[in-house]
Amino acid sequence: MNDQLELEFEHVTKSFTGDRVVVNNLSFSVKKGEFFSFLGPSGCGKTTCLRMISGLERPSQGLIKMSGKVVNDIHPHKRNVHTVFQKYALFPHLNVFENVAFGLKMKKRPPAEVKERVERMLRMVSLQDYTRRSIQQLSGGEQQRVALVRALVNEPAILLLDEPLAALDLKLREQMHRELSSLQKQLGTTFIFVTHDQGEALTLSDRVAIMNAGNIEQIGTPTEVYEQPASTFVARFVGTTNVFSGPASHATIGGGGSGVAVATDGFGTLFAKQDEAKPRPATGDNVGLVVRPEKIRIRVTAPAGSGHGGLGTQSSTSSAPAPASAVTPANGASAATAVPTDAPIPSGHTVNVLRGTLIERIYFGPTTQIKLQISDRLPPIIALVANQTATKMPSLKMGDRYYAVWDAADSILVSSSQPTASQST
Amino acid sequence: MFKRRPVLVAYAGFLLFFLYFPLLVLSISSFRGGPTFYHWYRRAFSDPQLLLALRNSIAIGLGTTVFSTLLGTLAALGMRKEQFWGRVFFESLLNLPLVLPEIVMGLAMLVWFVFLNITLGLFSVVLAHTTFTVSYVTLIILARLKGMDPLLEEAAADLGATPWRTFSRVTLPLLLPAVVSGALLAFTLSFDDFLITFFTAGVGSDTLPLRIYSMMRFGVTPEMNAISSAMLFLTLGAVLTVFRLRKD
Repeated sequence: MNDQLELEFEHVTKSFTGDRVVVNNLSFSVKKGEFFSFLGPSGCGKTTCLRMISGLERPSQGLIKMSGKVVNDIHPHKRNVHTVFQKYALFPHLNVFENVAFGLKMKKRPPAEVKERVERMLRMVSLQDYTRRSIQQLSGGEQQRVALVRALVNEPAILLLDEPLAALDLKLREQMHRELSSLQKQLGTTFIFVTHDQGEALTLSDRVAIMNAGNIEQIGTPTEVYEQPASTFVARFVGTTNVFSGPASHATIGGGGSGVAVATDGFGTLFAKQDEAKPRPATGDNVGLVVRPEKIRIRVTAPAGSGHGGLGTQSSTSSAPAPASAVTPANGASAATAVPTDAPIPSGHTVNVLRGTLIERIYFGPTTQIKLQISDRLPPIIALVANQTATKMPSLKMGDRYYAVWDAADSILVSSSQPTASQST
Repeated sequence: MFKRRPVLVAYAGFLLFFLYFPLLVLSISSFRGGPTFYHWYRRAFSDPQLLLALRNSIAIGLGTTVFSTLLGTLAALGMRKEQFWGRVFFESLLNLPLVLPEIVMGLAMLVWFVFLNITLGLFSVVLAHTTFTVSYVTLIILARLKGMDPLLEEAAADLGATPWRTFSRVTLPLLLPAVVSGALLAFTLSFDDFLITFFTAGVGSDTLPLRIYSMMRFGVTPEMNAISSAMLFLTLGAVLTVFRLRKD
C-alpha cells in the first residue's frame, strides 16, 4: 500500500533562527499522481513546506519520505522533484530553448534527445516558434509556460508549483488552469501546488490542505473543505461564510435526527443538525456554527410553523446586547461551487430565522450578494440570491427589513478554537 | 530650464572649461606642429626607453588585472553570505585602500618588500597594485551579486545542477559583466598609477607614468603630449566600456 504514496511528512517541524516555528509538526501524505494543494494566507508556512520537498530547506525535526525513502539529507539536485517558482526564475542569460534544456543538459542526456524532448514540450504549450527568443522578449504568460515546461521536461516524480499563476491576469490564469489540469492528467505526474487563492485550489485539486500559522487545519477534497469545514478558520478561508459561535447544548430538531443548539451572543439560539459521523460536542462546549450565504433564503414574511431558531420571531431585535465577535462573516471571493438555492425548505424541518435591514446589495451577474444588518452592534449576515429569484422579488429594496431563513440541516458545526495538533489523512 | 538659470549655466560652463580644457589642449597639440598629424606619436613610439616603459606598464597592468580579478571575484563570493564572523571587519578592510593616502600605501609596501627580501621590480609592483585594485574589483562584483536573484541559483539546483555546475553555468555567466568591468578598472588603475609604483618599482623597471615624469625634468616635449594623449584615450575607452557593461 505504501508504494502508492509519493510523499510523506512525518512530524515535520521547521524553525528558523530566533526559534520562529514556521512549520509545526506536520504529518500528511500525498498519493502518486495526485493534484495536491496547500492553501493558506501568506506566512502560513506553505512555501516552506514546498522548499523542504524540493530540498532547498532542511526540516529541523521529523522525516520527509519520497516513495518510502527518507530524503532529509538529499541535496536538491539529486531529487527527482522540480519546481515552478513564483517569479519563474528563468535564466536571463539563456534563450527559451536553453532554459528548457537546462535540466536535461545537467543530466548529460545526448544532444539529439535533448533537442527532441525540449521541442516536444514547447510544442505542448504552443511555444515551438519561440526557441531562439530571449526571456526578456516574452510576455508574463509565455514566461510562465516556459517555467512550467522547463520543470516538466525532466519528467519529475513530483512537480512543485509555488503560486505560479499569481502574476497573471484573470483570463490568462483561467487558461493556465485548464492547461495545468490537462497536463497533469496527460503526464500522471504528482502535482503539489501552493496558493493563497481558494478558488484556484478548489478548481484544480484532488485534495487541499488548508494551512494556518504552520499547522494544517484540514485536509480534504474541495467539496469536503467547503461543505464540511473542520474549523472556523477553514470556513472563513474557503469561501464567504457567516460564522456564529457560542456554547452548545443538545436539542431535537425537526426533520429527524438529533441536533445541537448554539446559544449565540446577540443572534439568539441557532440550530444545527448533528452529523452522526462526527463526535457530538459536550454541553457547554464552545462551538462555531457556519452557514454559507447561498444556503440562506430571503423572505419578506416570517415563515410559518414552530421550531424556529434565531431572533426572527421575536418582536424586538435591536435590544439584544452582544459583543461584535459573535458573528464574523468572512468576505473572500465566493467559491465557484456556490449556487444559491430557493427551493422551499422541507416541511417539518427546523429553520433558523434572523430579521434585519438590507444595507448592501452587490450585483455579481448570475447572483446578487446582500447584507442584512441584524443589529447595530453585530456584523451583518451575508446571503447570496440567484438573480432569477431576485427578479421575482422586485421589492428587495435597500433599507427594508427582510427575514434570513435557513434549514438547520444546512448549518455546519465546527470547532471554534483552532486545533493545535496537526491532522493526518 | 537653462534660460531661467544663467548663473548656473555660467558656473557649470566655467567649471567644465577649467577641468577639461587642458586635456583638450593636450590632445590637440599632440596632433599639431609636425609634418603629419601622427608625427609626434611616431616619434614617441620609436623612443626605446618610452617603449620599454610602455611594455612594463602593460605587463604590470595585465598581471595586476589577473590577480585582482581572481582574488576579487572569490572575495565577493565569500562576502555575499548573509552573516559570518568578522564580516564588518573584512568589509572595512576592503574599503580601506579606497581612502588610504597612496603615499602611505606605497611607503608601507616598500618597507614590507625590503623586510621580506623581495627584489623590487615588475613583480613587486604587480603585488603592490593588486593590494589596492582588488578592493575596487570586489566592490563592483559584490554590488552585482547583491542585485542577483538568489532564486536563479536555487532553480539551477532544483533542475539537477551540482553546486559547481550551478556556479559555472548560472552564477558566473550572470556575474560576467561585473567581472569584466572590474578587470578593466583594475587595468586602468594600475596603468595610471604613479605613487605606489614610484615606491615599489626599484631601478630599471620604469612604467610609463614614471618615465614621463623623469622626461619632464628636461621640459615638456611634443612626444610627451602624444604619449599622454594616448594614455588618455586608452583610459577613456576602458571607462566607457565599464559604464556600458554596468548598465546591463
